[in-house]
Amino acid sequence: MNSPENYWTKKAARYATTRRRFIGTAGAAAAGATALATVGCGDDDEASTPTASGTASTAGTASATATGAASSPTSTAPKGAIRFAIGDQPENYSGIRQSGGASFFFTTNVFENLTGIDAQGKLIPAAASKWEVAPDFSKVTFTLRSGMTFHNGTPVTSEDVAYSINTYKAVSVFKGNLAFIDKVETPDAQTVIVSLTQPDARLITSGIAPIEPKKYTADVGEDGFQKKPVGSGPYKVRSITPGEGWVLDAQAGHWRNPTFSEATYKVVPEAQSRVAAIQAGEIDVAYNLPYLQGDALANDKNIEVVKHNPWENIYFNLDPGDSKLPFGDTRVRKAILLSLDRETIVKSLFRGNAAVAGALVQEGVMGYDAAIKPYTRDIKEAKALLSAAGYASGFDLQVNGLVGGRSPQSQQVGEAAAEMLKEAGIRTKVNNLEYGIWINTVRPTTDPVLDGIIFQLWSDAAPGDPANRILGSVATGGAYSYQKGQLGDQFKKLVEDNVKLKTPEERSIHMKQAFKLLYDEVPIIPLYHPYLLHGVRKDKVSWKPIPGYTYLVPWTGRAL
Amino acid sequence: MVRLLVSRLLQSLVALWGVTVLIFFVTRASGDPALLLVPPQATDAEVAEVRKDLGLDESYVVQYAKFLEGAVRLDFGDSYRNRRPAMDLVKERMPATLQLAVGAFVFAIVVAVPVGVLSAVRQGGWFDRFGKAVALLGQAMPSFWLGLLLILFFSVRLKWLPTGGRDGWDSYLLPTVTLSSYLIAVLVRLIRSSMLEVLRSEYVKFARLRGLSEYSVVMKHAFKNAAIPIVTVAALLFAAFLTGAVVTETVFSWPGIGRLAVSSILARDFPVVQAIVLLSATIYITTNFLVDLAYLWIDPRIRFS
Repeated sequence: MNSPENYWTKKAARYATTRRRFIGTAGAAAAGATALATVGCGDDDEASTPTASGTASTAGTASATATGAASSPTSTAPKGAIRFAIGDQPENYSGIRQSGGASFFFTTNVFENLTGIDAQGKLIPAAASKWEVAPDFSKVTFTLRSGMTFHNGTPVTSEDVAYSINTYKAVSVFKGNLAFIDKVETPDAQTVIVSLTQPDARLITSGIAPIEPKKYTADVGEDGFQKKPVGSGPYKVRSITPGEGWVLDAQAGHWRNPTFSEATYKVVPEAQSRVAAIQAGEIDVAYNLPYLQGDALANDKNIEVVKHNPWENIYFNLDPGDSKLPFGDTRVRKAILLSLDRETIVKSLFRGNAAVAGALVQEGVMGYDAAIKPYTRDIKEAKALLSAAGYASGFDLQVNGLVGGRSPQSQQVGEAAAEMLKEAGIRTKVNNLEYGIWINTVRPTTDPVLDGIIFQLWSDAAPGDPANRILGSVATGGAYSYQKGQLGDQFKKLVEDNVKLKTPEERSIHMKQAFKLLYDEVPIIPLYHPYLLHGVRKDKVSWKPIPGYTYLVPWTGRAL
Repeated sequence: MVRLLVSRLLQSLVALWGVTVLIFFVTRASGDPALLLVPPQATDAEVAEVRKDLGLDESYVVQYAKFLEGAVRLDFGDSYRNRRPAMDLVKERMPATLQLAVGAFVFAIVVAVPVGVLSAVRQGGWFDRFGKAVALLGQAMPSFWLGLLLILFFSVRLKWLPTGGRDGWDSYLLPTVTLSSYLIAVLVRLIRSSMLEVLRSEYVKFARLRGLSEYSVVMKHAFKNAAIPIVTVAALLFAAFLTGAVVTETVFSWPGIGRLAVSSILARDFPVVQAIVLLSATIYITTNFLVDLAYLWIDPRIRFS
């Protein structure tokens, strides 16, 4: 980093004595205090927790009012510094133009959406202090926080929000998420009215679009914006060093409650190097450690290994409509599920750092039902089901696995599952695919279509609205859905009806039906929910990840 | 000699054109980048739209013609992921790679030449055994492992040096040693064997009979004649350093070309991959050409043959 104060200079200070002793060189001095930018992102709304029902329930939808984190007496002033080591570099520094991955580590801190999440992964108002859903759900009216400014000091207006939503709809790779937006109107500087082509609660849970300053973007151009991005999020960019990382300064008083006055993100692609860096005290938080390393680091008195549930679901997709395979029969699908010893997978391959999946929904996600318990392995029952379905002597099945670091232990899981299925008499063959190849072949519309069962990922990121995923992966017509018949249509109708409901309570009750159907009919084979392990220097910082949110952030969404 | 140079130049241009054909079709055969850019739930229509935005809906002939036309102007188009000119990304990473490559090369020469020469001169002695051990270890030890061992010892245990990154002189030490280890090993072996061969030759014996100093015999007469294979190998490995030392850059979080290449390949970011591969090919081919020129300077027999 070019900044005078960064984690290297601090590291130098820490090691100075040691190095003097050995090489007779004075260590670099620790940097001075960080100059805190105090751009006025303050909030004048004093109201408390949002949502119609008055509780910050999962993935809320209907009318809501902002939490007053900034002005609340319980809010904390950002102090100290935190240094994260992450595995990849952002490909893009614009909230609107980014295409995911590591870019979120950056954009989630720098940009603000109309709605956001708190430290528990629950939906909260963000740039919008409140919103009002029209009785017929044809439009949603958002009121912006007053006094809100971008990091360059200019006010955030409804025109900026409209510009951001329209640009997002035009250029973002995620624009499909907002396909139901018809138009955006700005009757005054504080009000944004979003008209919908059809009622869709995902408008609220999606956060809509990151807000970028219209005038500044026009002045500096797309390339200029990439070099010096300006948002209205809890952190302002101090410096970006391509390929190495970036340094952010907290916006004191921001409603998302930044907890550290300075945050450094360092790109350390190799997991072993992240482990070494945290052991050496060069970083405070090491992202996504290998499970074996987690065990080793747990013995270090200065390091806490934090288990982080990103609300990810791992499952096998299968094609009930494929005439070559007997997946149209529920008994066969259930037999496959009962053949798999998912407890052993979790225990042996994940060293306990995962949970066996029930109906592919976890606590915190809309539609979670504690009454639904995961199936346990039962080879006898699996064989009986196969026999009843007319496959007493089994059948040939290809297990399409995923190799590489995209999902932990994915290759081993595919191979283990293939062996487990053999015990039920299913003759398996493993076909491992690199991620780029995998994604080119797993869509049912691609050619050639994969035969057999296919390793799949599904994340219900905070605030935990699974509608997009069910529509995309299970319901008929979804991008990754192999469902063609009545079952797929049933899922489609359930979720399409669900997103038309206005309150989170209604949606949650209704969504439970979809997950119950998923549990009973086994259109896909749920496997497990993997956790991420992060190393945290407990002697230096107090920090926790947000459930359901893969990205490591130095804010809590509201005062804790 | 002019004919030789012209012939080499023409061969280089043909090789470069061959690389453009190869890289263009290999990238296209590796999969559809649009699918890696869109979110999982994107519809086929949205994927098709992204494909169109990237120009991937055009025929291969049109895409290749555009690529070739742009490549001549060093314009490889915008990165699919970064939405910035691919060449800008390469230029951003080139200084880091260049610094590491030059550092590792110089370090390798400084270590390998004296060790290789002394091993040959003192054949069978303790120094020769040391030289052979260095060569064996350097070639046998994967740089990934060596890098991690160095980090564990110098950074984690002793806390002398940073574990990675590129900030301050001390951040150069471990990656330089790691990257140069293989080149040191190769050069020590090569210098030793070349020197042993030359030291047994008649003209070296004659030089000694003339009463020249041992230094003059070894360095002026023997080493210069042993240098041809050394120059070839050293130059080509230097070219490899310049085009990215993926493993070293990854272990030490070094923001160079190698890491950019790997992430771009995995993301099917064709413009960046094409820019890096063509740049690498140009460096290799140019280095080969320069090596040919170096032969002419080192060995006058080639000049007159």
